[in-house]
Amino acid sequence: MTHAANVFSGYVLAAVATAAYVVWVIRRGRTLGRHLGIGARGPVSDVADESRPRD
Amino acid sequence: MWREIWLVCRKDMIIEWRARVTLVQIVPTVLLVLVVFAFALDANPSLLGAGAGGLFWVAVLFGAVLGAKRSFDIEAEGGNLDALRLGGLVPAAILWGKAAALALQLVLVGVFAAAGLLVLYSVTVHDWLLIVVAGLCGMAAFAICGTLYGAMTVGLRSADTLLPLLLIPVAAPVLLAGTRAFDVALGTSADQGWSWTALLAVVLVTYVAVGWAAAGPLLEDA
Amino acid sequence: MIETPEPDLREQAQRAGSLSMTGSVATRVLGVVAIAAVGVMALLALWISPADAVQGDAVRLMYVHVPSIWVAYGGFVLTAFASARVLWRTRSGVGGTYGVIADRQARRWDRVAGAAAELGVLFTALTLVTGSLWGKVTWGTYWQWDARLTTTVLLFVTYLGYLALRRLPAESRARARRSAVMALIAVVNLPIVHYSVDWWRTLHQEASLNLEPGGDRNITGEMYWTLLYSWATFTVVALWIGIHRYRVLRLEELAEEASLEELLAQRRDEQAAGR
Repeated sequence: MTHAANVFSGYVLAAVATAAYVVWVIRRGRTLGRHLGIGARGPVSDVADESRPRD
Repeated sequence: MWREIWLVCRKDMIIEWRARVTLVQIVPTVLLVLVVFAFALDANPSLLGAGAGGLFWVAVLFGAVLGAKRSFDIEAEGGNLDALRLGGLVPAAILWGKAAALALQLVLVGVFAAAGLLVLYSVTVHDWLLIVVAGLCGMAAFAICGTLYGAMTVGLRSADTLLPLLLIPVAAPVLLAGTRAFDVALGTSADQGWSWTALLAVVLVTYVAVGWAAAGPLLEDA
Repeated sequence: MIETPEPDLREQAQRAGSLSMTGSVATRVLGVVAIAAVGVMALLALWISPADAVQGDAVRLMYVHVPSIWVAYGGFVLTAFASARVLWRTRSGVGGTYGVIADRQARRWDRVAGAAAELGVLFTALTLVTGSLWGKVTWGTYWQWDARLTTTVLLFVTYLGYLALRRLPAESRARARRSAVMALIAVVNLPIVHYSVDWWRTLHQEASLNLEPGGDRNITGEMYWTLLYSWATFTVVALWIGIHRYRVLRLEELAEEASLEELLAQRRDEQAAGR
């Protein structure tokens, strides 16, 4: 394999893997949110609030 | 405390004496692994001799995985672990008692595996003391690791398949150091066998410290 | 289009629209910044920065490889820190109001540990893949039994095991405690693994290869800035994904609780009907 081919496949693999993970996370969030009946402006903000530590 | 550890250890040894799972299942499996390695290496005596130290430790590691699983299978049945806790035993006593019992059983496995090495791979031992000390340190380290991870996965549905994945990476330093020490003791390498044994001892001490710290969180109302 | 049996659920799904369920203003801004930064990084790394005198174009892989392992290490350090907090909180949580607060904090740290470990595993995988692609053109082989490579692959497998342990269904507090113990064992074990593998390789391998990207040679100018920029980009991307993952873990917990409550309600109904 040439340098360019390896560089190309490295970048493509990294991009695809990361993008796939992002899509998976966001889709899973949506599916679960729907399942729980949480709307966009509903208790999601609670979820967001949870991320802020309140020590 | 020592008495409680002894009680738990004795309990496990009595169960082993009655069921003989280690003797009639784990020991034969480990010997089988030694035979299968000969298939993989085309029964080449020089290759088998050169790799004997490593093959011994890999075989014993498989035995340790099985032993750790077995050690907590007997506790998962009928909520035995809860019974022990309700009986007033502190978590550390349960952990160390089980680790001691597992170590004893692994020594048994190791003795058979070493005999298998002598017979099947026709190795010659140059330094018996090194074999014994490194062997004991390694078995004890495997036993502590195995007990910790056994306690971690006790009662979980896919514990059988998960345990090797958890145990093998964490046991890698023991495998490596034990192999090097055995290579020296068997005369296949001019390494510093006692330094590797010292590393095994350091690993062992570290695991003992981790075990003390982890016993509580792992076994308290688990 | 997902078929939902209940009309009100469908309505809710429509209300959620294209917005991400775990998104907030902050993550949306972060997401836009991250994607823009990745675009600029691709430009910098693939076109603007020059090829290396020795490594040629292969040096461009380093702009992915080095920041990946940085993010992975950061993730694992965060996992260890969060796990220590989980155990700390669990131990001090005795009961009463203080116990409730401690319990909530322990759950939060448990989520942090889970999200960070998952990112760590993802980016360790990227490190290994880009590293072996780099090795193929630079050394002529995908893999070397070098100390650092061996340690990295063991690290990868260890945290795969950690994630597998987290996935097993169990009571959430017991699971948090158990995973925390495993994360701490993994961290304690790491120096031992690295030291023993290092010793093994230095004794048995005559020439050790210099694996440090760029090696001892000083990297300067565009290469240096590109590397620094990639590092910042990866950090932003990881933060963005990490926050989303944290919130998804929260949703997973809520779903678990909801299904438990549903089961309890069912049981209650059954009992009431039986009577």
